[in-house]
Amino acid sequence: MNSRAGKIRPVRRPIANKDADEFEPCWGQLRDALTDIHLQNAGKLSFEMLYRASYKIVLRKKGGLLYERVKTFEEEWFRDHIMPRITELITKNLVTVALIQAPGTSAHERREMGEKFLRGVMGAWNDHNMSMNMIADILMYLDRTYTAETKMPSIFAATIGLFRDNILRNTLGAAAEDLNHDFVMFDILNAVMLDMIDLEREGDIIDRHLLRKVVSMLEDLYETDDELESQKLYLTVFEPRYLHASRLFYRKECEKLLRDADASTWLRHAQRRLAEERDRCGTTVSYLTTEKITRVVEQELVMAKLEEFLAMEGSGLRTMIDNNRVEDLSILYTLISSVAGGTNTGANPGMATLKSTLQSRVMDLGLEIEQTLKDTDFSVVAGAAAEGDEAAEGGDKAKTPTLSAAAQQTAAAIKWVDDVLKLKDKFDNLWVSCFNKDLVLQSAVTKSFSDFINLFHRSSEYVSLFIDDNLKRGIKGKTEAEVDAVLDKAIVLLRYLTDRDMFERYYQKHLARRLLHGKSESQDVEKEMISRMKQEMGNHFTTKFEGMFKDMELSRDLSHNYRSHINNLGEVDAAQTELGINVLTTNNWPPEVMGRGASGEGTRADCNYPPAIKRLQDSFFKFYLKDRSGRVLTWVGSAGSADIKCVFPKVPGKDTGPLSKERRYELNISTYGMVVLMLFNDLAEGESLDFGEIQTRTNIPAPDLVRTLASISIAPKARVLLKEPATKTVKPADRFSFNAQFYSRNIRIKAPTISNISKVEGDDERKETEKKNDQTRAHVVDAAIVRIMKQRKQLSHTQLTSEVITQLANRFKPDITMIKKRIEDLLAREYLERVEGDSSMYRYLA
Amino acid sequence: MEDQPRDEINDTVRQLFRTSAYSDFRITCGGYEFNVHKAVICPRSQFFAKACDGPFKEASTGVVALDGDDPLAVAMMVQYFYLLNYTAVVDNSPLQPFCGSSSQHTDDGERVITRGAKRRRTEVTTIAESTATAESKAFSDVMRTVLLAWPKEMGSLTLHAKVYSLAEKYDIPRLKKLSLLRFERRARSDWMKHNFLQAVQEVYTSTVDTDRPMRDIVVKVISEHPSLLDKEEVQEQIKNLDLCFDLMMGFRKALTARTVEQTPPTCTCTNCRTDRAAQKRPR
Repeated sequence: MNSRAGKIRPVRRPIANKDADEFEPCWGQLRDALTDIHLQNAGKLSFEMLYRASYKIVLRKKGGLLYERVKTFEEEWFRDHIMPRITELITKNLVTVALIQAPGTSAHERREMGEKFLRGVMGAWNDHNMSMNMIADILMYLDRTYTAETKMPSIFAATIGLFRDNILRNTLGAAAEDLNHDFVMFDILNAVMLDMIDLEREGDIIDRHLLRKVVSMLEDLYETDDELESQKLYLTVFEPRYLHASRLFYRKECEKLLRDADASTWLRHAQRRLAEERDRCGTTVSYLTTEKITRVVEQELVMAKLEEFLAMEGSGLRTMIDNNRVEDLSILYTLISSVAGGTNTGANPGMATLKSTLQSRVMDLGLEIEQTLKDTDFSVVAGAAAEGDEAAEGGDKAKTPTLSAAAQQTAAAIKWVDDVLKLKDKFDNLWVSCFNKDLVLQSAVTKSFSDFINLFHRSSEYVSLFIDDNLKRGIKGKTEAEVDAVLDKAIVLLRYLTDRDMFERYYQKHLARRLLHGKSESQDVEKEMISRMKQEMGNHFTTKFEGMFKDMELSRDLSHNYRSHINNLGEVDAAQTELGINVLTTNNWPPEVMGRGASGEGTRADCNYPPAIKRLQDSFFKFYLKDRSGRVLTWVGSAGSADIKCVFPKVPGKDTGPLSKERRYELNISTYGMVVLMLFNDLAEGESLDFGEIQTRTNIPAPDLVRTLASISIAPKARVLLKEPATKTVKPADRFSFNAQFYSRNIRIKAPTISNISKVEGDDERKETEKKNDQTRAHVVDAAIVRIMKQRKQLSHTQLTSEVITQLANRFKPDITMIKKRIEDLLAREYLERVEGDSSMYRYLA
Repeated sequence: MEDQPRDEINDTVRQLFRTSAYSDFRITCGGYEFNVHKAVICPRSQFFAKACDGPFKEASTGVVALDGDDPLAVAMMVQYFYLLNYTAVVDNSPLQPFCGSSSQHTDDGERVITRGAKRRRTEVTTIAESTATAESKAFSDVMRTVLLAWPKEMGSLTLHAKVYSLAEKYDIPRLKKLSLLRFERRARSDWMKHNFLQAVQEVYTSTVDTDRPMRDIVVKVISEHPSLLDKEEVQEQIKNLDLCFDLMMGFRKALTARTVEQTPPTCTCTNCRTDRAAQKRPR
């Protein structure tokens, strides 16, 4: 090439000629080498020499010619040497079996024949592929320059494509002439491979490695020589057929399962098939298909008959839930949630089914709880539990074997709460262990819980009762953690309640009772409960409760101060009465306690206190007003209690036995009871008073008086008064006298308080409560409407309604008709007016 | 030189270059034999990778014979594989003046590179020292012989051109870049030397015509020094090369760039040449 002569002479020879001269010898070298490569004699060829030859040709600008020559050479070689080998493989038998699926061939025969065919194709492919690779190596420089510049397919792409054009797309020739359709080799190849895969699905052992090799061949070949990634023959030809065949296979299998198996088997089968198919993509087919085949199996095997399987009697979703089949459920969830659409119930019908079934199951089981409650006779069933209740009930009928109605209700409430919590635990457990803490399912289940709990009209009362029961005695002797768990449960239930104002009302009532009667087990736990409610529902919900606690604390101080004040006065009075007082702020306490119940009497007329008590009251009032002038104190006799020291004189004529001595007892009775008993102090022995006399002298409201008299004249434990006639009920015509014969083994006697604030309401009372609640709600709704309108000035009816509902959602779910009524009322009261011309719009009137 | 940890790999490779220890492949060329390491050369060149790995003769014999190439250029290429640079200088005295009176210092021109050049020389010195003890097959030994056999009439400009075409042929892009850089520097100073023509001949015959960078440099240098075209030997030389066309297009471009309004010259190649010469002269 380069002259190394001492003097540089211009090259005179025309270069073109030299080039032409050089091409043929170089090509000759290369041609011989190509032949050797095909005959697998490459070992003796010098790579450098061949590379140099092709380099030279390209340097002399004959790249195009070389490219064409190589291509032609390969085509000829292919035609003459490879095609015959392949043609031999296609036997008439193979064509029949593969394409027509003629019956009568065993799986074994089919496999043998298929494998032989595939091996033949693979042999040819391997040879071709290897040769083409070597040729591409030799012609590397051609690819780097000529083909790169002319944007032609690389020499490898051009020659490897021969296999596709001449073999895969070749018609079958003589072997298939009977068929009235133009099949090509590729069809046979596909059919054989799909048949193999089906054999494996049926449980046969096949040569996976061989299939994998065929697949990688298809992955190496492209539709055109441009070799676009998306144009791999595997993707364009084999994969669609593979997916289609799989679809048919699984559709059939799913139908068979639906006929022969149960849901549990189906779940496990689907799970196994999914794993198999994914595995197959790794070992036999291609990773590229993993996602797609997974979708196929999911669609055909999981989703297609999902509803039918889940509805199966005895093994469907219902059974799984009821029997806590954790494994089944978690498989189900895994299968469903991985389907397209994921856990989105809108996009994934499977999730939607799961969700709705769960919801209806919660609903049904919830209603079942209510039904069992109705069917259970608590007077008998709760017998064992009743022992504890006696104390709570004050033992008014403690000796009777059946429980009082109230105690029955308490037991019912506790059973209901327990059952609901159990149900909740069950679904929580499923949610954690099977549903991967799916948020959508959680909110769905929560909603169902809320629905059925709120469908049960006593839920608010029952929840409050449950807390009441626990705070009174349930937490006795429990560790902090256990108490915590109880509180948690209470809060969980509370969350479900929509009519929170109802609950608030009940809780207030129960709390008042606990506080005034000192029934609460632990102040700390009470406060903890309140603070949790505060967290859950906000400040406004607990202000009243907190106020009640504050009142109690202030009262304690007040009583204490008053006592030291009296002591300081030094007025030593033999008949001095100790005063423990609770000053209650009217708004914080339930109206029933405050003696201003809406039951009609409404009067707060003071009863006539005995003079000693009257003096005490005056003295306290004076003391109280020292610091707080202008306040009014109203004495609520119905809510207080008194300790009285009673002396029963020796009964004449009795020399032995307890009656022969003077007896002193400390009697704990209600304030009214004390007032009544004091009357008898002034009576001469043997005198009696009738009901009317007592009422006029004490001015105690009749219903209260009935209760009071009942507590001291009927219950044998504290029968300090004798009633005439000695019936079990107090009638207006009854007469009462001092029971001089009274005897008790205890020094301290507690007269049973029969309070009008009974723990559980009867139906009438409940209606009463609801009515009262509705009245309160009306005010709350009024306030909300006015607040909203003040801000917005003008709103349509529907907007206003929805605003009100959102604002009040935290407290209760307002009735639409009620809102409508309130709006009308406000219109009448001229807080609002209708906008002229648009009757659906309201305007705020300042 | 600081003993930096990162120098370790450099030093090791340099060591391998010096001693040819662990060599597992040979490159022969013009009777010389270079003991090289597959691990060093194959990852850098597809050609050597295929030669070593392929099913051809080279893989089994462990020798690749680069018979068509210039031994000096091949030696430069091998040097580059190990040292990331190449030089044709042994000891401190050039065996053959690169050209005329210019010393090897002008080789790289700039200051920064001079430092590099200095370092390289110490390198070469160590090679020379080691010759005494190393085996006869040691790399530096071979290198020395090759360098000593540098043909007198070949200038360093030609050598760069040869290295460049070798890099193109065996697909070593970085070496191509390096040799191009060095060719350009050298051409700026050596354009009037007689071996410039020799280099031009090499440039225009050893690579495919679509490989522009080095040709562009030649065209640029001639355009900048049009008086070159007055020499008869230059004219003779150019006639048969594509350079003729390249120059014409180069001048055409320069023309439009300089004057906005100019009648497009329609001319044959010879006319063009004289026209250009006439136009260029006043500048």
